[in-house]
Amino acid sequence: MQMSNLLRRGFLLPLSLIFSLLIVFSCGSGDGSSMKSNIKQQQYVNEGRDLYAIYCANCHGPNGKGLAELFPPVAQSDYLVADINRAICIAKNGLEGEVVVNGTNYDLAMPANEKLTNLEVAEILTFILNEMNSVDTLLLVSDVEDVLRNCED
Amino acid sequence: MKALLFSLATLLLTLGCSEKESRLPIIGHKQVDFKTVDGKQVADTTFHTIADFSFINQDSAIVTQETLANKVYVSDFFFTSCPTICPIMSAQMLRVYETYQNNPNFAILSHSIDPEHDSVAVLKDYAERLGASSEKWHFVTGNKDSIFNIGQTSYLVRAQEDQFEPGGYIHSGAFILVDQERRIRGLYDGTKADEVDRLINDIPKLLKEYANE
Repeated sequence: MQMSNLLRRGFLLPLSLIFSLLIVFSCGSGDGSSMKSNIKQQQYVNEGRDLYAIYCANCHGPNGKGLAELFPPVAQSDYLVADINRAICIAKNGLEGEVVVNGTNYDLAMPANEKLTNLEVAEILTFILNEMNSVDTLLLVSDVEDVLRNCED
Repeated sequence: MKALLFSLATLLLTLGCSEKESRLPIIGHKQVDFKTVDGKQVADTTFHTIADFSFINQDSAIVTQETLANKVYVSDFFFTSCPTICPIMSAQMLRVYETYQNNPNFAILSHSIDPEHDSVAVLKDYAERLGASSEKWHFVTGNKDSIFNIGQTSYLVRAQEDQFEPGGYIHSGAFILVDQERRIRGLYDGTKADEVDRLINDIPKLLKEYANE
């Protein structure tokens, strides 16, 4: 019994050393920060999914496909992806006037979402971009703050 | 005791099923009067019906009970600038429309509860963008009080102004199924896909009642 215990310890020690080394190396090689931001990005996507269901899905649809020629798609949307700053402004401030999305003209006014915090705008857009437009990106609260300060109108 | 319970349950099940297969219920207050015909007491039931109305649709045409004569129709209340449940209702009603758009005995009547904003031109644009033909799907506007009133007293749904509500109106998301005799035969939550599935299933049952005549 004692022998086997010793053996196990003798075996485990180098193993755990190798593990620790691996972790140190992987973190040191510069992947650490991107790993962190990936986790944060995933959190934003998850929060954004819930917020999308509350604030956006009524008109733009549960899958982001919009409704006929009344409400434009936010999924696979050329208009949205072409100018993400503009999309941030619209999410918060709404939109009046005609827009052309994926070749179709839309003209119904979108109401402002004044209650949305900068964090919530960042989460919603991060969700829409990653999950509905295959744009791998993380929008930060500071980005949204800067953009909202410079919206037109 | 057990046997009694069992037979009761069987009876209930049988009744439940046979009723489901036969007819949709007639909804609303009903009044039963007895009169004497040929010396016999006969029950004469007066059912709740949709009152007369006169509204204007997206083509500036007047829509009345006459327009919907010999049709089974679905009615709802919405407004085009509604930020909350109306878009879902429109998406769901579009499913109903697409299923029965070619049936000559079927129609849809969507009332705007914001007639000041929802002019004929606004409704026309909304209907066209939704892809709805005005022959089949009437988007109507008119006197605001008349619309609120017919909503509450005829269609048995809630529709009123409320400054605290987003968009300024509080209203029910109900879809109301009406038969050719102006009677309500079904109420459905137009914001829920499974309820609208039930409506889509019920429409042919009602159409069938009149096909036999």
